[in-house]
Amino acid sequence: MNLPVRVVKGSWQNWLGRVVLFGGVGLFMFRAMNEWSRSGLGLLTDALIIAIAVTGLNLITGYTGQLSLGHAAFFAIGAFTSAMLVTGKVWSPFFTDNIWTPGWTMPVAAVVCFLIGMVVGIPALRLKGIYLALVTLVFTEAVRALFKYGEFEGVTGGATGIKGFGYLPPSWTGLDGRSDLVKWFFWLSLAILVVVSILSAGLLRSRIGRAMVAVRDNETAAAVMGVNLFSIKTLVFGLSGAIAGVAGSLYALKLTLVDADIPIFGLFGSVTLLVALVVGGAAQNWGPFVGAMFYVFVNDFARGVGEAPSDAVILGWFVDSGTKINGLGGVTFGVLLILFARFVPFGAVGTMRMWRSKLVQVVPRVPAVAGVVDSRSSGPLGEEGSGSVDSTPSSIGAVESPGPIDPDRPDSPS
Amino acid sequence: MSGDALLAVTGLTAGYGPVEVLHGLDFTVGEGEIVVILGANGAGKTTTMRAVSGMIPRHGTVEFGGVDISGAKPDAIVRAGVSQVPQGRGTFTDLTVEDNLECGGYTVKGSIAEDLERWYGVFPRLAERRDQKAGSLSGGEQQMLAVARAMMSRPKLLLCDEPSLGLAPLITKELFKVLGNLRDEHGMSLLIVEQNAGMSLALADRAYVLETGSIVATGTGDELLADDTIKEAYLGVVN
Repeated sequence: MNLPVRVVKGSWQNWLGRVVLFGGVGLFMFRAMNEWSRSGLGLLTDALIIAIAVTGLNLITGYTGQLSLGHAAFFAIGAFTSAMLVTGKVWSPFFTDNIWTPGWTMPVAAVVCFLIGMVVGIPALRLKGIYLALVTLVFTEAVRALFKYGEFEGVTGGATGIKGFGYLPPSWTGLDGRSDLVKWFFWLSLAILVVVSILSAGLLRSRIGRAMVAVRDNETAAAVMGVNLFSIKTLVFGLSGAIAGVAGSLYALKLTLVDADIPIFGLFGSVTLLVALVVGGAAQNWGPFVGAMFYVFVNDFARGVGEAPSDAVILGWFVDSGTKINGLGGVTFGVLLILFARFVPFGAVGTMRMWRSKLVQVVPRVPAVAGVVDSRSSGPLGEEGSGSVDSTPSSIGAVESPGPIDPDRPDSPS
Repeated sequence: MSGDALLAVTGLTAGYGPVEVLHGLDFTVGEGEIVVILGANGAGKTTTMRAVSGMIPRHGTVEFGGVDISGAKPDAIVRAGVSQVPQGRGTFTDLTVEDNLECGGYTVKGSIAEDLERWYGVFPRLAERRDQKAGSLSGGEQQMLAVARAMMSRPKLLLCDEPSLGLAPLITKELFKVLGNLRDEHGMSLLIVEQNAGMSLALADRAYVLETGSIVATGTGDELLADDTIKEAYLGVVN
């Protein structure tokens, strides 16, 4: 059998591959829930929540090509929206009692973040590249400062934040209140991640999704196709902010408190999301999930090394047991990240795809167009047999007729 | 000039920040006409294209089909019926051929399935590769894709920004045949900016010569081809 094996897109083999992939991940999740310790499952849940936020960031930064350092702000806004609604700190015009159950605050957080994203996006997305990054960075810190501002203490809790709320599993889940809390948040996060991923994939397949990639690939060409660059960017910024807001809301409910000083609500959070995106693979559908898993678990491993260096690989030979080294956890994580960037280019998913393509390639179906005979083998990207004669020489599309003067063909004399 | 002009540009000035690149251009494109604006590097060819399609701030009047579009935004101009093949093709390399074409039909309301089949019929090579990423096509194929994509918005006028750029002579020849075909069989009007004088003037019904932001000569394609100064400046023929 010749490698790589060619699988036609949409064939049963292609679907089998997908079933194996999703089944594998599903089985992993199922086993994790039943067999992992509470702390392990908690970490996995954190990874899922970050993956939701990164899915949002992927829309604007990965697919539309607009670098945002502002997604921690949406994360924080989502978290505070939930906290303020659940604890009844926000004035509600129609009801004397607070009607907000924790679950219903999540869609509210999404709407609030969408609107704020649009408002911030209108001035911000007129800028490009590094300038957009700067403005969104300021947005993150400004939001954090607003939540800490003393005058708003009655609503946001000011410097001390908001405590004393939570989200117990509803009775229909069959989970037992407090003891199954970890499992409940795990399932909730997983379900929301799946829904958000499906919605995001649907968006990317739509007219707007194509326009997003067009804007990223070539703004000028997108504009002369009639794509309104500014509206597309602003809309996507709002949507991506809404998704990050849902993640923030989930994060707050899991943590049962919010506080503007929590690192992930600030610039650190924006960088975390960006690192997870790049590590997982920007503009890859599995990128946010893999990146968030990497970030959370490798970070946890690095922290373990920092706390007990004498137990670590190699390092343990040089360090006496019981020794503590300040900042070692951060350094370990940094070194791992650098190694990752060196040996796993295009992010984890991109690299996995590259390896996989050496074994299996998914090739597009050969379309049945009347009058066109595919003179090439079913080869994928540009693997045409040299000297093939075009079967439709009279058609005006037969540009790349056989001949030695195609400037783009690497084997042509130039 | 054939009848009323489809595109009438008068006193067009445009530039970048404080630098004025175009110093008051006047030109027209009639229905079913191919007009070439010939210019060397830095003459203002791309700036002219950008100014017409609304990509940069501009002064003067641009009338299309009798309607003043001087102040219109790029997407409104596309909707009005002006489409562009940008310089360097501008294909969306990460999208498939079909997605590229669908992007071209972005402004069309309703189904574009028929448009797809129509242009696949004209460009069978693109039909063969409809599920391939545009970045995997050869330069000539990408240029064809850019033309087909521009036609997807159902334009009346096609702007081509140096279509021959980076293409081998034989492929350029094929491309100009395609462009002529768009006029003859599909009733299109074309405005092409070029520095390949020989091939573009042979195709053009009329042509203008642009030098440092001003039009210095005009005539039919054949007239300009016979002109000694043009020969000297663009064709390298010294008498």
